[in-house]
Amino acid sequence: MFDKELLKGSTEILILSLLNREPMYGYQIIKEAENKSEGVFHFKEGTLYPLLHSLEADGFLKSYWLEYEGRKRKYYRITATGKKHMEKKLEEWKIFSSAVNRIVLEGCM
Amino acid sequence: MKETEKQIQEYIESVCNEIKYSAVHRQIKIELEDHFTGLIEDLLAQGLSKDDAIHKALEQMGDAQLVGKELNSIHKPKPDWWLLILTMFFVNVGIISLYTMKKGSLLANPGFFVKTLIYVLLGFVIAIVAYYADYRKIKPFSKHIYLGTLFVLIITMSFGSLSNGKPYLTIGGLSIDIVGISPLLFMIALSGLYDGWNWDEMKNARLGLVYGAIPAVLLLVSSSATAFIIYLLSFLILLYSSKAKPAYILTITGACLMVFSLWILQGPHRINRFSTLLYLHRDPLGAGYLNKQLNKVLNSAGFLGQGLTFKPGVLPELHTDFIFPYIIYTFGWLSGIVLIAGVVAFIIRILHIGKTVESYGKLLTISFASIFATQFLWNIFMTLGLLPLVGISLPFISYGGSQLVANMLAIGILSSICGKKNAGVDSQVPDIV
Repeated sequence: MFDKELLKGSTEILILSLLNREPMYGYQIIKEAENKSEGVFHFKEGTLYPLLHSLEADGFLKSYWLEYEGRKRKYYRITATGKKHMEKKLEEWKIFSSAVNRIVLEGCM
Repeated sequence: MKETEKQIQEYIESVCNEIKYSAVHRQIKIELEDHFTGLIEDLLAQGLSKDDAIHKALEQMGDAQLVGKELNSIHKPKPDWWLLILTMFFVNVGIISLYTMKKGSLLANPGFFVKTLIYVLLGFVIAIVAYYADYRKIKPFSKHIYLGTLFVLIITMSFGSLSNGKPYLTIGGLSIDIVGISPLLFMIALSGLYDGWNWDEMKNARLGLVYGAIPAVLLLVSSSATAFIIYLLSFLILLYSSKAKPAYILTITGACLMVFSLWILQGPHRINRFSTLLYLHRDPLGAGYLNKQLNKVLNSAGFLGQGLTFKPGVLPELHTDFIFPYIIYTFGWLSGIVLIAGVVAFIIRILHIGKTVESYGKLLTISFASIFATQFLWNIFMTLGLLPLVGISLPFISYGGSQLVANMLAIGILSSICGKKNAGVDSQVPDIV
């Protein structure tokens, strides 16, 4: 089991770095994450949308609407502050994961 | 899939039921609908039956109430706490100063203190009402506010009762400082009128300038120089922010200066009247007397202040225009510096609120920021001897019921703007994409 905060933090990095490549809508983010991770990651959709909304409220994302096949679709793009936040989080993540790797993989070396 | 199924609709509805702030329901509904439509299309393409696809899509989304609750906590209107804390700070500085003046028998009317407490309460009620009301509902009434303020201002100037050379509107024993609060009301109206104003078309641009110029001329003709200065400076900043051409801004500045000079030159009584506002009438020892007094007060203040030792008669209008030197003398330069820092933070905070809101909200924040900045900074600079002494007092701090209530209205509107922004109303679905 993952620690809830850790999970939320890592989901945040995932979303921000996906959106750093191109603006996407919610379902597209889910599909992209699944494809890129070859099926390992599957976002719980019920947590994705609140997370997107809270990232927008924090000013890390900005949403806009486009039309697709007669439907309105909400796209999210990363903001300048969002990019900064992502880099900071990424740095934390690197430190954390390398620490985990050092401990976990020690026996296998 | 042409229509989203009933189950999906029910699911989305129960999500929205958890979200108290109904203004965001529509955008959440459309976003989730789009999600389900896309997902179900894919699931159908994978060969699932329609029922299975819907079932799976809903299952993946999870408990509707849980999702709704999470969204509710995000889309909750939140006021800007820094703005409110700073406002409370100013209001309390005012109350404490008036209280110590009352203790030191420095108030012309000891009743000013209790009156202030009543106005503070009234101001808070009005701020709370303005916070819960939607500020965008003001916009359609901009023209009414403009004409209404103009009308009441003319009535006050023609029939108002004079006090200290300034006309007040008296309704049922209550004197309202219409002249004093008119800049704020005009700026609220002009924020609405100028939102999306087409400055490129000559005829339209001229009309816009006339709207802005009428209050300036009226305030000047009625020798309300103080309100004129506050209005003009704020108006020019608003004009600049609503993307009017710099040429217009220069034109209106030039025109105002010309009217101002003509008005001064028109007769010696005007010069007198204007000098009244410059406090020269209270100048028994010639020009510069008040500045000398101010210097004396400030020089003897010290870092931590002299306590309740302020002598009566040293400075006039302690409770209004000269409350700042009183505060510095009584509570020290440290307090004065803290107060100035508070003022700077307050103005920055207001501009910060306006940074990420839609255009009308932005113009309102700029209007309020410039009105408050003009008053705070002019008063502080004139106290320090860097600007001419005119009857501009410190917002929220100086005595003056009408102005306090009007300023609290502005705080309420600002909180409403901030609340809507925090609740995410800004990403409203556009009607035509």
